[in-house]
Amino acid sequence: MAWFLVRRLAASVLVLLAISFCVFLLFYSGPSDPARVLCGKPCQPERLSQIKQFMGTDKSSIVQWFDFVKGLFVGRTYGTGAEAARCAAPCFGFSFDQRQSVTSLIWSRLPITASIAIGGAVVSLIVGMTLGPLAARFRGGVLDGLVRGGSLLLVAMPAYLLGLLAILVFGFQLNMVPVSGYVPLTESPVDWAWHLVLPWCVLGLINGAAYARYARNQMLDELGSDYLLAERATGASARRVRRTARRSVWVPVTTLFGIDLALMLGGTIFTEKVFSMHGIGDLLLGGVSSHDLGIVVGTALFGAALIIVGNLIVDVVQGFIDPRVRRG
Amino acid sequence: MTAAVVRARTRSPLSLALRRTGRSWSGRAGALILLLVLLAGLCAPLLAALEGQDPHAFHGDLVDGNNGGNPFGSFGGVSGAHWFGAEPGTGRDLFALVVYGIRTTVLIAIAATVISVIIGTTIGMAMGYLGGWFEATLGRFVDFMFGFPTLLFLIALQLIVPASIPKPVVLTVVLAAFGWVGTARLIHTQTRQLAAREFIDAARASGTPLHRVFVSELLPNLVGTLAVVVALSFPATVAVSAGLSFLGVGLDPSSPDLGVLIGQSITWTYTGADAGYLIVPSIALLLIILGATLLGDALRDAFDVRTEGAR
Repeated sequence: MAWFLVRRLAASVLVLLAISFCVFLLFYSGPSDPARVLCGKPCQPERLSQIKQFMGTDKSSIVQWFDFVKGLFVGRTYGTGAEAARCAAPCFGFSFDQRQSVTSLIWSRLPITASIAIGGAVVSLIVGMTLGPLAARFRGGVLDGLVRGGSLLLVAMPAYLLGLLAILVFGFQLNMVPVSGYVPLTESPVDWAWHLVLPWCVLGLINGAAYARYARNQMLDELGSDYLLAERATGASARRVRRTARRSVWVPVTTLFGIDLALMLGGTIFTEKVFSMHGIGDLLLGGVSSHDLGIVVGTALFGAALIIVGNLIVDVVQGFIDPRVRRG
Repeated sequence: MTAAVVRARTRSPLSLALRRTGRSWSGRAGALILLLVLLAGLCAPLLAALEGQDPHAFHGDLVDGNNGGNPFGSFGGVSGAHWFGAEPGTGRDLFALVVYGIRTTVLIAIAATVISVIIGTTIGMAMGYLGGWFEATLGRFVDFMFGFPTLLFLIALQLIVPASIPKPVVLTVVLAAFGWVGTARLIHTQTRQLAAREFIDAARASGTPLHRVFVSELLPNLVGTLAVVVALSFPATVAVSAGLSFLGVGLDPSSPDLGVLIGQSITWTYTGADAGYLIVPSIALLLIILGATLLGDALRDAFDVRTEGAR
């Protein structure tokens, strides 16, 4: 097991290095010059080279990548003297626009994105694992029809559309829940949850619909399998057989869940925009509109890191459950 | 025995599968919905001319400047001259905007889907047929890309694309550049199964050139899979493309596009005033995605392609 962990970890680190390398080649040798953006117009050549030196963009993109990777582990300092800017250990870059390290910017936004993503994931798991097996239990019935039709519609529905429609109906027509803004958990847990009800339901329904569809079909497959027929033949009740089947549906669904949770960072961008919450997605969009290369590269790489860590966790959990994965 | 004698009335697997698709409920409904919306998009100039409006003309007289730019009249200013009402603020004709919007969204998605399917098919076939280190290396890469935060990078890329390249072109290219992975995965599995069959061995042994093996031996056997791939990746592309425009990092805010329209309707939704401006483009977008998904599901059942590996 230890060897398996080491191997997986090493592979993840390598992948991350490879992505960051490609990103640096692409972004820091592209036509968008971050120093020029900061310099503004008109821009004296001396001032431009000063800024370049300060940002470290006067070096080649490969050297810049080395600096970045080094900054991730030991932190780095931009410029020298009185106006030097320190970026502490996991340094994901620096926003010269806001004079803050990207790490601290991400850190300040993370609670919002995590609240939306984790809550949405929990709702989707509950929705999927309740409705999916139930639909399989009453196959061909009214509930099954509703679940199948509903999941078809919801899988086709973009999250932002459902979000806007939810705001329209529950926010403005029925005036039931707040439609925007975020209240920190530490300030008031009740307000926190109340503001997140709509985003959670939107994300939960859309992802839960996919789980329900998957769980239903998987359940039907399992119920038709030989080992359950054998269990049935030993005299086990139908209820008991269904419980066994449900257990084996959980395994692939948790895998899906782990990956989706990591990918949710992408999915929450729409939710954040629709419900005007300033999470990491909003940070990235802001970075694009203000031409802040530091923020954009830092957030994108942070997102990639999150997904790789998520995959790693899924792998390890599966390695614990299923010994075959460890050897593979 | 000559060929003429054995020419019995048989149907190719392809036409059988298409018949099965045509008989299924979801296949019919999907094809019908998709056809209607696509027609509306392609005939956008015609439809707008029929209504007598154009999507770029501002109508200051249709909106109430004293009421935050909301359109006069009920349902967002629906009238005989403006079938779906007017856009709040500018007073542009909503019907014309939506049909032109469908056109933009659909054309970009079609172009991106075609390119990404061609790339994905080529890579997938090469992986499955050539095998060895080529397959192993690319396989790793494809696996990796599959769990990649594509959306984040699609957004980030907007920053380094030169402003001189037209936005629709940029959008098409980036969508295609990230969209081929699912196709490659699916085609790869199918090709690997095919490559183990005798007729491929025969082609290989008789010295058939590589491109000929691909085009005349492998490709005809992948038609079913391809149909499913296209029908399923098209709606996904529509959703992402509209999504990017919705976030303000796709097309310019002035271009008629479903994503742009829905994105701009946020402001109006928040004022709680004009629901029509949100609902009309939304329904159009939903119909495109729903129609293609239904058709894709029917095709998948008919061709019996497993797509669990590629969502």
